[in-house]
Amino acid sequence: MSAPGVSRWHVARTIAGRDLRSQLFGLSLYLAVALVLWGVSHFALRNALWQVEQNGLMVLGSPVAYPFFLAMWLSAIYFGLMAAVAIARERDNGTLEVLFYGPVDSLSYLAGKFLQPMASALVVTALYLVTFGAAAWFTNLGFPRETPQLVVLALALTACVVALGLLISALSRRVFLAVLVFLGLMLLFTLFSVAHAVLLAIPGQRLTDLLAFARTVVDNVQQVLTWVSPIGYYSRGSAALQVGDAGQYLAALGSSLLYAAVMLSLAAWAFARKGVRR
Amino acid sequence: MMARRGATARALALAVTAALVLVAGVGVSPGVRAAEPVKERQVVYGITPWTGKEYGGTFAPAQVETLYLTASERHIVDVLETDVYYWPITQEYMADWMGYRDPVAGRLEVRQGERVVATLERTPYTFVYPEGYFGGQVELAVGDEAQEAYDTYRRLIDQYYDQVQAYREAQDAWQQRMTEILEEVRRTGQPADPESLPEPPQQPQPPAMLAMQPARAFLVELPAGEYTVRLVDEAGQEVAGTRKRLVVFAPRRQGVGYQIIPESKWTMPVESGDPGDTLYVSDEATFYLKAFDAREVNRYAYSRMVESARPLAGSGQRSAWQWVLGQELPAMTLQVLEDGQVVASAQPKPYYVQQTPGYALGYNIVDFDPSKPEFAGRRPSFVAYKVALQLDPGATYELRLVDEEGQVVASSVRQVRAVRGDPVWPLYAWPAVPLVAGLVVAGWRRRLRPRRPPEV
Repeated sequence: MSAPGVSRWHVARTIAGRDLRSQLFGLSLYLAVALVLWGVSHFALRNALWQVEQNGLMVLGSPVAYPFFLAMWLSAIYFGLMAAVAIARERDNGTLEVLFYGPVDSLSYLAGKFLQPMASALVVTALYLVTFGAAAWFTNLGFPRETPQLVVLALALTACVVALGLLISALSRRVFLAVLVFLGLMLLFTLFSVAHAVLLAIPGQRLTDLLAFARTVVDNVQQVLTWVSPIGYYSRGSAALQVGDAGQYLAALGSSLLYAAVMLSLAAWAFARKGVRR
Repeated sequence: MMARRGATARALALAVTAALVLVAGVGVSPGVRAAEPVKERQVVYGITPWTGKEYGGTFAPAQVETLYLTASERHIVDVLETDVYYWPITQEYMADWMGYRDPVAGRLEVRQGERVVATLERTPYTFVYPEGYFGGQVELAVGDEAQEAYDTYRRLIDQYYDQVQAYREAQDAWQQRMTEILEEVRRTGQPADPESLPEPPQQPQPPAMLAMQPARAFLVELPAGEYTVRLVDEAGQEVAGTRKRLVVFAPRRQGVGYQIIPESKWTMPVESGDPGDTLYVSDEATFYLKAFDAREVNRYAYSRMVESARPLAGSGQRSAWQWVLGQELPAMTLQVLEDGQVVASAQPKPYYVQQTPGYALGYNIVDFDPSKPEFAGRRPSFVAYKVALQLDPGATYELRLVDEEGQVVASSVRQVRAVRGDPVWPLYAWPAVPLVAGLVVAGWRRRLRPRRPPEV
């Protein structure tokens, strides 16, 4: 419970504002964004252009939609990692206990730690929109028509990853462990998603028994992972946009936000159980 | 020296002989003969599914428990007894239809839960190809129409044979008359009057239409859902080994699909089923479009429908979807728009791919004009809408189909974008914007920080 006269919202805003200022006035965020954009420009956009040049004519969905998702996913991992480090580091340093002598309780603290990366994500998304827009205009690859809905979906994806990061952070007493678990999970989600896409793309005639078995296993696991991995919620939402199903899109968005809410609730529960002491 | 040479020659001769014996032995040994597959007599479902474009052909052996068919379309299903074996090379079950094939007597009962949805009798059917087997179109004629279609085809064939007979006789008569005229010219030395020369007879054209001999099978057409099928005998009893689960699936989306034939690679067309697709072009200013009825179906269900006998068909693809191009759409008008204004329109026309003379590879795609002598006896390579664009880098066009009433056909719209891939440096320059923004913010923050007073 927060101190009398000081609302939780005020405390959360203060914590988020302090962390946001610290992040926005530092260089690491901009450097991370630039690195992500360079990587995506080189490996995705440049590759799409090269393929069109090689083939002369190609039919593609939207060559910008996937790179945009990739950039948002990498940023979400960055913010999630910051969140995963946040609680564990402050607890590890002993500063958390000091903080809680003031008008701070676990809910307002977690809310602050959640709001800050979300505010940073808004800034980063704006930077992405400007840079991707410029690249899409210059190359004439074009922006997908559903960009506003994709942006909302991507922010929900970030919310899920950040909330998951906070849960891991609340559960861990050591920074190293929190980082290891968080990155391991993100790697698993990413690799599984890539493996699923690669295996699906193999033509039926080239399928060996082993590959068919692997594809069946991966497809079945993927069915479960789509509810565990934040990518699954984004994929469902973007697929709904592709087929023009507004109801499915809203369902995907709602379930994504619900996922973030569940993760945050679990983080609050874990935080309360573990306490603020080292 | 000589003795050593002799020994070497003997050793060589022995080695060659041994090798020949080995090769001969291997040749007759059972190990290198093609392995005879083990056949098993089974009751199977012969399935001729309508794929949206044509009637396929597959069968479901006893090992397959679930059949897949598309909804609200007529498929041909039969229950037969045949010899089945597994062919590991292509990883599929095969039926020895030529060796043994016997339809199992009974009616096909379709159930949904406990409710009997339909009880089907075997019905005569046949495939009719109005433009010939390679003409692209196939129609299903059922019941009396099947026999009528076949009778029409037989009548046309008989008429054609009669015409051929009459042509041969007319040809003989013409030949004889021409010989007489030549004889006359030779005898008199006077050239014949061209007006008096008889016209050669015209060779009759075989009928384009083709109809197969009617057969009998169950015609299955059901709404989407899960069913159970089984064969029941006269007494209403289930025939052993005929119960299967039947999944009838509907497409997720339907629309207009295109096959796009680039002028520079006409044998390598690309397809577009999704209305959200964009055609990206770099230097392919001319291409040809064929418009089809397209459906987006579940990849697993569709693969199981067309390849029931392949156990691996569709494996691991339950969550995937694919566009399938069906029948070609009737002729319409293809419009090309730039900034919302129609800048060109095209009708489907026949084209002919002409190989360039000489040994070097190459071809030209030209308009097919059957009245021109160079196209006599030839068929067009394809019929399509021709699109020729001004490819300024950065140009964006829109393609769409318009029907006879001037209405834009839903989901026929596609964007065409001419990409600008050169120079490539802006792709790497734009990402620097956030970094510059960061440097500016960090610098500004540094200036705002209070300076430490100089130490005294």
